[in-house]
Amino acid sequence: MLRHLIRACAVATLAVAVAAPAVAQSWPDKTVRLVVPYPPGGNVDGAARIIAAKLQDAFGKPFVVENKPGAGGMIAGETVARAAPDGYTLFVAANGPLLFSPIIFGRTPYVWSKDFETISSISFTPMVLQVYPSVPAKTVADFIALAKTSDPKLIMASPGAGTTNHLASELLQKLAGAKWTTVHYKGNAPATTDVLAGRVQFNFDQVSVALPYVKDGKTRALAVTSATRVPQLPDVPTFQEAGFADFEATTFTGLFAPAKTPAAVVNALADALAKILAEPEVVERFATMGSEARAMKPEAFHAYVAKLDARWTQVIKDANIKAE
Amino acid sequence: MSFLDNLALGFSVALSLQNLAYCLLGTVLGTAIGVLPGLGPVATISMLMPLTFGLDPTTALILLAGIYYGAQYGGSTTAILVNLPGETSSVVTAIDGYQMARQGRAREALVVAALGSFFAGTVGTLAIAGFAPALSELALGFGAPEYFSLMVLGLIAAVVLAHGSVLKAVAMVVLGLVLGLVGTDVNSGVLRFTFGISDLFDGLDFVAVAMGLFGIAEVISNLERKDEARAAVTLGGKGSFLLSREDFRAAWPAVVRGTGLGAILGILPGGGAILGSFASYMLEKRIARDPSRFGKGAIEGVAGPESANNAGAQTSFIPMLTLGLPSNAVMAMMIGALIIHNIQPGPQVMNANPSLFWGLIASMWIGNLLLVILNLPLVGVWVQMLRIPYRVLYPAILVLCAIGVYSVSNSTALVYVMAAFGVLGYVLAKLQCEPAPLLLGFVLGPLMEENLRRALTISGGDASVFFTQPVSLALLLLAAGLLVVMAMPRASRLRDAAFEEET
Repeated sequence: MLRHLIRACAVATLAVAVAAPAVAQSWPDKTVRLVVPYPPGGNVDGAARIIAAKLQDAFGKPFVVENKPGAGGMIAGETVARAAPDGYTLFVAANGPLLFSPIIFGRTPYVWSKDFETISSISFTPMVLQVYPSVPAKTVADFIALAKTSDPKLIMASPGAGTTNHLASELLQKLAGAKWTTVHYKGNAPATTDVLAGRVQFNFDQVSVALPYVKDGKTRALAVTSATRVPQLPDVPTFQEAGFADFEATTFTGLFAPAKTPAAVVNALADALAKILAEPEVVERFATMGSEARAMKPEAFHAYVAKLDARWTQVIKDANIKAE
Repeated sequence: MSFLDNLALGFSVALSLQNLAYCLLGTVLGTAIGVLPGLGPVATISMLMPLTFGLDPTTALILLAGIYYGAQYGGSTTAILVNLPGETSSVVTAIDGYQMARQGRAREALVVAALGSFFAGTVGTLAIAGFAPALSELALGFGAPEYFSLMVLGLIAAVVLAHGSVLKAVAMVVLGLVLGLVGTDVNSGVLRFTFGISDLFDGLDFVAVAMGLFGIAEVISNLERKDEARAAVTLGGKGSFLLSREDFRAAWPAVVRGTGLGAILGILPGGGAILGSFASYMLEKRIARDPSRFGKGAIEGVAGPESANNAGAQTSFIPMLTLGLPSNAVMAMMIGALIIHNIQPGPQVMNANPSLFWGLIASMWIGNLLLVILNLPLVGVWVQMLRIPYRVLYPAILVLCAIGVYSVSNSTALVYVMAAFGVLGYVLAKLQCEPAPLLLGFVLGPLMEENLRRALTISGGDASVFFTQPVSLALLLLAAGLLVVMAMPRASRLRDAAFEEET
């Protein structure tokens, strides 16, 4: 509770100090907020907490994680976009809050390329296409063939409309020219439950979540969504190997700052993250969450996000996923 | 390994000095945040999580688990004393618990809550130890049709929750259903009743709604009473530490039934734990010889739901431990904590990490014991809270509520929601409409809709799934039976009335 009071005071101080121009040389001279667009516990939150501790060591000032869930991450995004660009409010974002939610909810409180400075990528989390064991398909080709012929259609369990899992499924349908039924759940746990129970045939799940089920024979992994194979599932091919050269669907997490944050601050953070994300201990921590820790320089990361933006915007429009 | 060997292993782990100390720390912290309205285990665990990185994974889990079930325990205290449910699961406890406190029976209410919780915790722990793998099948066996039928049963039974007019109760349930529609529709992703306000995209928050309807509304209602009127509330208790014989006799069957219901519903992912206390209350009221006592300080109305919520808190660990599936936000965070320690929760945990699995289970029982030892002497202290004058107590409550609700998602929007529902709660109280059926409609309505549509999508539009699945059919028959039972005395009364008019 004391923590909350302190945090509340910090917020108030920030609000009062909006006008103060950031002096990049002295940054940071007080607590830095890392705003996370999800509740505690998921992999974006996990990533934020790992880097917060390390940034704190590197800069000698507290880096505090603040969870502001809601509206597909847009509440957090809006908070950061409107915050003073002084380097004391940063956004630990992912595909959804940054790119997907504004399109899906039909509301654009921010445009990522205009309202944020890209600092660095943090991690990349691949997914795996897993099927209930009684589904006859053993390969992606079998699976697509099955999807095209089966009646009633195969059913895919999605953790929510507009999630990366859902969009990966839409992209595959588009590329393969197949159609299946999508059932949305409130979050990943109930969706996975129905796959384990065999009530639905398959889903796209994060590798770390699916791993125990695959190992235990409760599901069968057909392909991973990343460009390269993942170390935890060395025998499972990528979709690109399976013949879908354009298919890649990983979740990224990255660090962003409000637009017009001084370049000196952005670069200092980017350099620090490049070092932190190369530390073996940090790499190991991300690996246990099923993610790959990888820093990108601000310009390279900006180009990467722009490429994703173009691809997924098209997928969302083609699939006509909208909240209204 | 046999069952006893497993338990022996578990206790040898849980009784190590370090684990015992963290278990105590967890339960004390949990009780404290449970007592503070709105400040829940989710916020606390997220703050403490970084501290657990340095601990052994078993110790970390023991600490986090202690906070969780400690909070379920502590949540009933403010519910009983000042009508302020500290946790979502203690909403039901507030109904009769607060009335008991107003009649000077706060001590009895708190004691029965503590003892009932301990019994439930013991049974819940044994259930996990003995049958976790088998019970996890139950969680998997519950699909969309079964959930839908369970919600139908719940909504029909919700009317039983009210002790006034049936018409008003139905109206409250429907109002709850409508409020539950606010937000993003799960099945299609469409926004409903959000008026373009992004704070409403995820719907109204249960904690904010419940605290507004109960706690804040109570504060407002009390402002119009004179201070002396409240002084009439005697502290009661006659110095006897435990319960009188009559109270004990009335309470223990309710405790046993509540434990059973709570334990089973707790296993179901998705709102099971909240359902447990509601279900227990309805059952007690239904089978009571004099249902009119409920809502006016019936001890069974505290004993049953409190046992149910604690039993559910224990058994909700089953899907997490055996399948790696979180049944609520707290479990999701525990999975996060385990993953950080490089343990992937799932079917293998029991075999790959037996000392963690059994150590946690043994610690849960020890934690429950610690809670009773801790809380029984504290009952006297809590009851003294009632002596604090309103002018001091109420501002404190309002501030704590605001801080607690803010901490749910670091958002001021929830504070406004709570304030608005405080006003609504006051108006409803004036109209003699009860908030409990509204809350149940609010929780169950969206679940019912979500599962109805999901069941029909999966079955390809074939509604017969609800009748061909045995569990679903049984639940629907039960619901139909309940309707008939509820309608019958009414029907006969109407007939009598009609008769009188004729003659």
